[in-house]
Parts: sequence; C-alpha cells; structure tokens
Amino acid sequence: MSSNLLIEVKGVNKTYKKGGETLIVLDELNLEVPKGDYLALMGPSGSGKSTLLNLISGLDSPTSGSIIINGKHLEKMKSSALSDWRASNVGFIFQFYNLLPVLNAKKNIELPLLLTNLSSAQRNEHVSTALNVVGLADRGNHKPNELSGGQQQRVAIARALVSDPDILVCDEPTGDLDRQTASEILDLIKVLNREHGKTIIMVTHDPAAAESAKRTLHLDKGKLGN
Amino acid sequence: MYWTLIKTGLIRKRTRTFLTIMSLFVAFLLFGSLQTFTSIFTGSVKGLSAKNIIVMPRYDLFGKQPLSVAQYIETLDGVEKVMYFDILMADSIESMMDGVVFAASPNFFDVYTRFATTDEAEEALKSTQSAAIVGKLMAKEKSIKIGDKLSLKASSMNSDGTYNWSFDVVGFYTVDKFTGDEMGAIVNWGAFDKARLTEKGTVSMIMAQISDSTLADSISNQIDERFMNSSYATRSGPESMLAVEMAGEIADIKLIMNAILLSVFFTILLVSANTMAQSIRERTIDIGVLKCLGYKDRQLFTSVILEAIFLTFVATTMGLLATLLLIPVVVELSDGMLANTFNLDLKIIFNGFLLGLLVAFLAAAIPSYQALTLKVVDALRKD
Repeated sequence: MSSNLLIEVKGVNKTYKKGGETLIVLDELNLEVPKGDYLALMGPSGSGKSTLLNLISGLDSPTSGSIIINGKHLEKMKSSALSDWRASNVGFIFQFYNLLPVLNAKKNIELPLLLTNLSSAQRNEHVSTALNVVGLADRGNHKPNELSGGQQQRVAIARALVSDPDILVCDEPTGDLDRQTASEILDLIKVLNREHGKTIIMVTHDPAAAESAKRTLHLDKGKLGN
Repeated sequence: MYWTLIKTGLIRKRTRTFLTIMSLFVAFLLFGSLQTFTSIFTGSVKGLSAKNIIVMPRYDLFGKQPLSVAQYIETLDGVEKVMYFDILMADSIESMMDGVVFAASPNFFDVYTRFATTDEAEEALKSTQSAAIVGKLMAKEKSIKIGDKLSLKASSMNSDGTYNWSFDVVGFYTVDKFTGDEMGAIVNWGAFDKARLTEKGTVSMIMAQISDSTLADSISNQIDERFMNSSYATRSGPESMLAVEMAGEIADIKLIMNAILLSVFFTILLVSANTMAQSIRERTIDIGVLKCLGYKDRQLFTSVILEAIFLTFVATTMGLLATLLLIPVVVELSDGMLANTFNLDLKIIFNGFLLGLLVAFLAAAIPSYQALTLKVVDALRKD
C-alpha cells in the first residue's frame, strides 16, 4: 500500500434482494483514493454512486470485498466501532443540508463535538472556527429556517468540518442550490481540499460541479470507468 | 449530549409536547386524587388510632350491646380505659340539628382523643344531666351558642312517651381529624339512659384504650371469643382496621378505584406511545443524520427513553402538585367536613413517580426500538 493511499476499495460487491431477485448494485468494484484527493463520482441514477459513498463512509457494509481506510478494514468493524470511527474521520455534506430545524447554526455545528471530551469553551472555540471557515461568523444564532439554502449548506459544511475529519463525503452538495450559490459552495469545498488538506469524495449529477474536482470517475451498473 | 437530544425532541413540536404532558398530567391528577380518596377506605388516614379498640355488635351496625360488655372489657389485661356511647339519630326535619347525638360515658374525651373540648364544658357534661356539647362545625352551621336549648326529635323514646329531647348547650367540641364528626352533639349517657323508656343499660359502641397497639389483635380476639355464643356477639378491632372493614362491606372501593385508574392509564399509555412513535417517525432524517455524525444506536435509544421519562416526570410532578392544591378546594366545598381527611402521603407520591417511570418505559418501548434499529441508509434515502 502506498503511504499516500487513504481509501482502498477492493473487489467490493453489493447486492440487494428484492422480491426474490438479486440486484447487483456494485460489481467487483476497485478504487484507490490518495490523501488530499478531490474525487467526483458521476453516473446515472441507480448506478451505485450513493451506495459506494455509504460504504466508504462506513454507513453500510459490502456484501463481499474490502473497504480499507487508513489501514482499517471497515467491513470487519462492528456498528458501535464504526460510529466512533465516523465521528472522528468522516464529515458529511448532504444535498438537503439535513440540519436539525430546532437548533441554531452554532448548536447544529456543535453536534459532532458533543461526542468528544471537549469542554464547553473548547467546543465553542471549534464552532467559531468552523463558522469563520465557511464565512458565517455572524449567523451562528440563526435557525435553519432563518437562513438561505446556500447559508444552510455552509452550516452543514461547518458541521462536517468541526471535528476535523480527514474525509469529507458530499452527496449532491449543490443539487438543491441555484447556479451562483452552487458555485460559491463548490469554491468553498475546493478551499477545504486545497488549503485544509481534506480528502473529498463527491457524488454529483452536475458536470460543472464535477469540473471543480481533481478527477472524475463514472459509475455505470455498479462498475467504474473514467 | 443527552439533554441536547431530549430538548431537540421536545421543542420540535411544542404543541404536541404540551398536549402530551397535559394528557399525562390529567392521568396523574386522577391518580393522586383517587389514591388520596382511597386512603379513607384503606386505613391510612391519619388520626385513626391503632391503640383504640372499638367493640360493636357483630351482626348489626346499628344494634345495641349491654353495658356488661364494657364492664368485662375493663377487667382485661392491657386495657387502660374503657369508654362507651349510644347513638341517637336526630330527625333532621323536626330537630334543630341533623347530625348524630352521642350519649357518652363521662370519660369520652379522655379516651377518644380525636375529640376535644374545654375543661369547663367537660365538667358541665359530667355534672349537669341535660348538658350537651355541640360540634363546632354544626354550631357554626346552625348558629348555636352556649346557653341555647338543643331540641330534637330522636330515635329513642323519652320517659314522657314522646321522642322529644331537650338539652342545654354548655360548650363546643372539635375533632382533630375527620372534621365531619363535628356535625353532632355529645350528651351524658347516664342521664340519657335514665330518661329513656326502652333499651335501658345498652350502648352502641365501646372503645377500649389499650397500653400497646401490638396487643390489639389478641385483646380483640379475647373479647369476640368471650361473647361469640351470646346474643350480643361482638365485633372488635382497632379503629383503623374496622373503618377499612366497614367500607369494604359497602363495596371493594380499592378495586373500583384501581379499575378506573387502570383504564385511564391504559388509554393514556396508548395515546403517549402513539404520539411518541409518530414523533420518532417524523425525526427519521434527524436520527439518520445523528447516526452519520457518529451517534451510536444505543445513545439514540437511551435519548428516546430519557425524553419519555422527562415528559412523564414533568406530568407526574404537575399532577401530584395539582392534587395537593385540589385537596383544600374539596375541603372548602365540603364546608370543612372533609378537613384532614385527604392525605397525599409519601407512599402515594413514590407510587406516582414509579407509575410515571413505568408509563415512560412502556410508551417509549416502540419508538426507542425504532430509533435503535433505524438504518442510516434508509433514513437518508432521497427517493
């Protein structure tokens, strides 16, 4: 294994049973992602993009094959250990932001830190830093419904960043935004990759979004192509 | 961490949270009230002494027993004092009063310490044949003053062949517990017995004050066995126990109360469980996101249980507090007759919170399981 290699997907198969029929979602898939990479995954609906993202982020387990991240075999880890691993290694950015509606931006961003041993003051410091990175220092006390879509996505990005994970997984991060706002969010993601060294895997349908990535891979019928 | 999760769940739909708390609150108010009310029938009411044995006719609550029974009881070991009284029921239409007249032995106040009067009144009762000490509540209701004549038509025939009785009011008595007992009057048994035409030398009830409450059973059994085969068979027992038994003869009050409570709580349980399950369903995405962020299944399971416990804790506290506030209102509505009768004791409070905990666990069982088993992939599925 190359010392620069962060994610290794080896011979992964993912199948589902549906009405007695076996659906192959990922078929003997292999993928290597080095540290600091910014990878865009494209492909038609049902091609297995989100499934691959779920496997890499430890939300789902493969039917067979290995997912090795930083030398750890995710497929061998139990649910509780995977939760711990996710909490410190992966940040999630969703299409629909998925902020908790009753909490303000600061409290939403703080959520991953509640699982750590940080003091309240230390948590506040981390939250402020994350808010500064996404350019929303003055919006910390606003609830999601008081923010625009772009601002909500920035809060979601701050939440993904706040525990300083190595990997950011983005599932259609600009899918719910207008062109201008989408461009701003993509710029921000690019900054996180280039300046903060985050390894980013982004699922997208949007060619413009894919262009901002360092490389793009296409998935079709569970197999990868360039 | 848990408080943030609980708060998030509670404030997501404030109206629903409020209504859930209110429905639980009503259930616990009912619980507190019924339990407090039931305590009258279960002997846990303060003031009923276990050191006072009551001896009454075995087969007829309103029957009579000869004074010789009291004289026999006085001879028993462990018996310190014996008091007796006869009961005259006053005709409420033709009398100045509509309560009970106790024609009592001179040591009535000495033995029956729930009842209290002034030394002067007690002395007057002993020395004056026509003296009557009137209950404070009745005196207030009928505006009776010291020196007034108390005229009544009673159930016992006077020596003049009528049912008319007349007494001179010499004072008032109060009752420490069961203020309803103040709706009556106490007269001198000796004078009354001398004046009546029938049932001379009999009493309705005998009360024996014993030296140690642990002797109550053995002394009671001794009395009952002594008169078992006579025409004046007795029924004896501590005052607190007899009260429970007598209430039980009317109906199994406790069973009825528990049946009402059970049906109320079953309904509330279904409502709460359904509301919580619905709340969790609405939070599917939130739970999915939290699991993404690293929250463990068991942490989310625990948070749902804690949320239910918080809801029921608030409702239980409110319900029991409202019961506490309701007691003086009921007493006021009863014109003081029920004063000191209702008693929300520590046992009821403890049982209330225990019940709250049970309701919380049962109501949260399905929702917390939903949170435990929810798959992130399913929760965040976009289609």
